[in-house]
Amino acid sequence: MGAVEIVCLGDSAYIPDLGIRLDRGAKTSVSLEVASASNDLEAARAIGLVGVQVVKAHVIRREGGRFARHVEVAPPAAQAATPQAPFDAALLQAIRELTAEVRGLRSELKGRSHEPPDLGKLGAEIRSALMTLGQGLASPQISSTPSESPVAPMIEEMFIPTGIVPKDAKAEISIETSTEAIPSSVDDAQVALRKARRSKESG
Amino acid sequence: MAEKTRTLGVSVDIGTMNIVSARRTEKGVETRRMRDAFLDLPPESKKMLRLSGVSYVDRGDEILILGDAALDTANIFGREARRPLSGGLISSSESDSLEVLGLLIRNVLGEPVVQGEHCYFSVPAAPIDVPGRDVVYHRGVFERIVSECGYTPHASNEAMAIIFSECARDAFSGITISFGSGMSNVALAVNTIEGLTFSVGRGGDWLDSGAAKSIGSTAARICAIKERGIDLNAPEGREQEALSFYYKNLIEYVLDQIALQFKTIEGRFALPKPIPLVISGGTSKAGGFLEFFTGIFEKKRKRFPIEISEIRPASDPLNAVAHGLLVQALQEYDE
Repeated sequence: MGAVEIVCLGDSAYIPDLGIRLDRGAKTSVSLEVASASNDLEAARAIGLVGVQVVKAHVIRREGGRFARHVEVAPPAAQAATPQAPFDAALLQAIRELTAEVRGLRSELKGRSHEPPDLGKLGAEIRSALMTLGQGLASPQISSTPSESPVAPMIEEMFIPTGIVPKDAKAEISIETSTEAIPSSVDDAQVALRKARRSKESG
Repeated sequence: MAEKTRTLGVSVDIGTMNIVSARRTEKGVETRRMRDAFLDLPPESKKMLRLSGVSYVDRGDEILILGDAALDTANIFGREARRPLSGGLISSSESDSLEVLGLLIRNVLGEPVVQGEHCYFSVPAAPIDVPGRDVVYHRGVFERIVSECGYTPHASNEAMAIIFSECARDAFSGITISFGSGMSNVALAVNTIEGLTFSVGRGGDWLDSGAAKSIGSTAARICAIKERGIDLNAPEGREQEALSFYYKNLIEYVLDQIALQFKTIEGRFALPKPIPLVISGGTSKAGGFLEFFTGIFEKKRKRFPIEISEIRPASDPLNAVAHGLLVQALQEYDE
């Protein structure tokens, strides 16, 4: 289960739907699930009143974000050697629905104590559900090289993104500029370093 | 040509509160400073901003106000300006951090004199008291940003930069403490050789927050009191006393950490003679800071594992890091 850390960036912050009140610099942790469901937290984050940092997550995707960044992913347990198919949110949701459906079927079967389960029918239902699942999704392919995979990996490979400095942004920004006579600190340091370097070179 | 070569080399000090660049020109050293903050507004605000003469960046779907103007405008709208750095490092909670930092640094640095001009930028040491925080990503991002601005990037420790700008007369030996906004950085060096660098996650923001909490005030108010003027040795009123108390705690904490960290290298790093202790950073500009600091140190001197020849302030606490980085950048072109 993931977790996020909320830090107050303003004088104070109150997140009503989480019942959290923080003063400047104070931090608290909530589960990723709870944080994701909180509209008040999102509103506070959007205006810069709080910062939200994911402390632990299996996968993070930024919706509509400009940049991707690498996040720590909990290593898959005991299956690191086998290639894993790419994974996306639609697939995850579909599996959740299917799981719920199977659980429902299981409960139904438990209730039918005198009737033997029609495994053929159950199997057909599951197969049908999987077929429906497969039709709606791109067929995942396991590829040894990321460039060959038709499905974009959820964890993007870019640790440090490129194109951070926007070349096309129109900027009108004022900067405080001052020029002073060369500070003695800079001059003295240059002279001393030059002297040290030359004495080293001359042996 | 030689004269033009002399002016090559630039530095940029990237802090939680300010971004400062320094470059040597024919007239001296030019420093450029921007507040490390931004504010996002809807595109409709453009007209109002033009009328009021506020500078902004047009991103199409939104307007960004950068720097000092962001703080002023945020006050008008009853909002908080957003800060791309938190605790001295890139704020992972700020989704727009990277692009904003790119804009800020590009504007503070300006265009390179030649493509690939050497640029030294500051990197803090990883905080020893904040588990899980390191500077790997922070450093990598700024290397990329500086490179994309057309420079050859070189990362250099923030506190070590002060060794270069302030300890030339001591053969580049000394202890430097940079009391910043998000953190405090420490370096110990002998003859330019780094013996120890570390940081702690306490700085100006910690002072404001702690003092405010202790008396039920707000950090913004405490910060305003600090900037209005205070004598740490003779505080007046409850708020100044709270500030003075937290300053004392900060200084004691940093000195204790220096002593502790030095113990880990004592056997491997010899100090041939007493060395100076240089204080720098915006947080050290509070009234009476040097006297206050010295008073606290004198109580610890007997047990302090390092012999200190003198305690002195940096000649320019706000620009000492940028100057020290500039010294290093200029060395790239020095014949």
